[in-house]
Amino acid sequence: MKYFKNSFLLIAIFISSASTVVFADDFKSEVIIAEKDTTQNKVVCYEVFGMDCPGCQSALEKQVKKIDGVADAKASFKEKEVIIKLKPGADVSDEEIETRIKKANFTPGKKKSTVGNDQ
Amino acid sequence: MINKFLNITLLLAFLLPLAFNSKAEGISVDAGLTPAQDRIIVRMQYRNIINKMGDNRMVMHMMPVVVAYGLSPDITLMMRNGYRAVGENETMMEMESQWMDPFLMGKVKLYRLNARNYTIGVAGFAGTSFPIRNGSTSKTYSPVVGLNASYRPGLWSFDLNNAYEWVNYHSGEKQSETRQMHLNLAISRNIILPGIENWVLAPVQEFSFVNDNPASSESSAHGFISPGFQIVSPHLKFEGLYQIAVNSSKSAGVTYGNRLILGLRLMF
Repeated sequence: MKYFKNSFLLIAIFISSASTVVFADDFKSEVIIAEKDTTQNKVVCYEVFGMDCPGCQSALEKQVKKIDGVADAKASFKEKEVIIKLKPGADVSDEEIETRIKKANFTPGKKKSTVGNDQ
Repeated sequence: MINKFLNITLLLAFLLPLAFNSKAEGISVDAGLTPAQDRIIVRMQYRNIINKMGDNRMVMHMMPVVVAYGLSPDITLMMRNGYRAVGENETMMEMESQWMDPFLMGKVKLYRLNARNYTIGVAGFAGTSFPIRNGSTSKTYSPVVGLNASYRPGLWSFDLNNAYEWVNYHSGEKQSETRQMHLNLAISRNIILPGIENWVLAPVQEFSFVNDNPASSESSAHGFISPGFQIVSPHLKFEGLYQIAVNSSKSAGVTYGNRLILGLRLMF
C-alpha cells in the first residue's frame, strides 16, 4: 500500500512538473512570436485581376507602395498576384490594400496567404 | 534620379510649343483601358511618311511626343506635341519644317471588367489642337471625339479605336476643311521571353481605315495594313510598326505611301 502511495506521489510530481515545462514552453513561444512581430516583415499576397503585361505590374506596385507601412511590393501579371512586404510592426488593413489595387484599375481577388504575425 | 529625369522629361514635353493631329492610326495607347491613378506615360515616336501628288514625292519626318497622366482611375489627361521635318518635297505644296500646335485630350473610363481570364474596357475621349503658335498654318482648332474598346483574353489583346475629327475647324465659318473618320483595330499577343524576367515580346497587327470628307471636294477612303512589334518591360516599351498603304491612290489628290513608326514609351 505504501508502495502504491509513493508511486502515485511520484507520478503526480512528474505530471505537474511536465505540465509546468509545457506551459513554460508555450509562453516562451508566445514571447518569441511577439518579438517577431516587431522585428520581422509580414508578407501578404493577393490575387489581382486585370493585369496583362509587365507595364501593369509597375503601375500596381507604384500604387501599393504608397500605403504607409508597406516596405516593398512585387506584382506579377503571369501569376495574377501581388506580394506585399510590410514594415516591421506595421498594421495595414485589407481594405486599404484593396483600395489601392482598385486605384490601379485592377480588381482584388482572394487574399492568398500571409507570412508573419498573422500566421 | 528617376524623379529628376521625369521632371526634365515633363518640362521638355510641356515647353515644346508644338502639336500633332489626332489620328486613330498608329500604335494604340491602351485603347479602352485607362491607366492607373498618378500613372505618367511619356511616349516618343519617329514617323517616316512618304506621300505623292502625281509623280511628285513628299517625304516627312514626324516626331510626336505624348505625355499622359492618370488623374484618377477613370480619367486620363493627355498632351501631344510634335515636330515635323520636311525632307524631300517635289510637290507644289508649301510645307515647312516646324513645331506643330499642341493637342490636348481627355479620356474617360466608361466600362471595365477585370475577370480571372480576360479584361474588357470601354473608354471615350475628346480633344482638340490649339493654334497657339504664330506660325500656325490655319489658326483653327481640330476637335476630335472617339470611343475605344479593348478585349484582353489571356496573353491576347484586341484594341478597337474609333475617332471622328473635324480637321481645321473655322469657328467663324462654322465649317471644317475636312471631316475624317478613323477606325483602327490592333491585335497582338504577348510572348513571354524565356530567361528574361518581366520582359515580353508582342507581335502586333493593325488594320486602319480613314474616311475623308473634304468640304470642297469628293470624299475618299484609304487604309493601312500594319505589321509590327512591341517589347514591353515594367517601365519601358519599344514599338515598331510598318504601315502598308491600301487604296490610297483613290484619295483626292494625294497618294499615301507606306510609313514606318518607331517608338519608345516610358512608364512611371
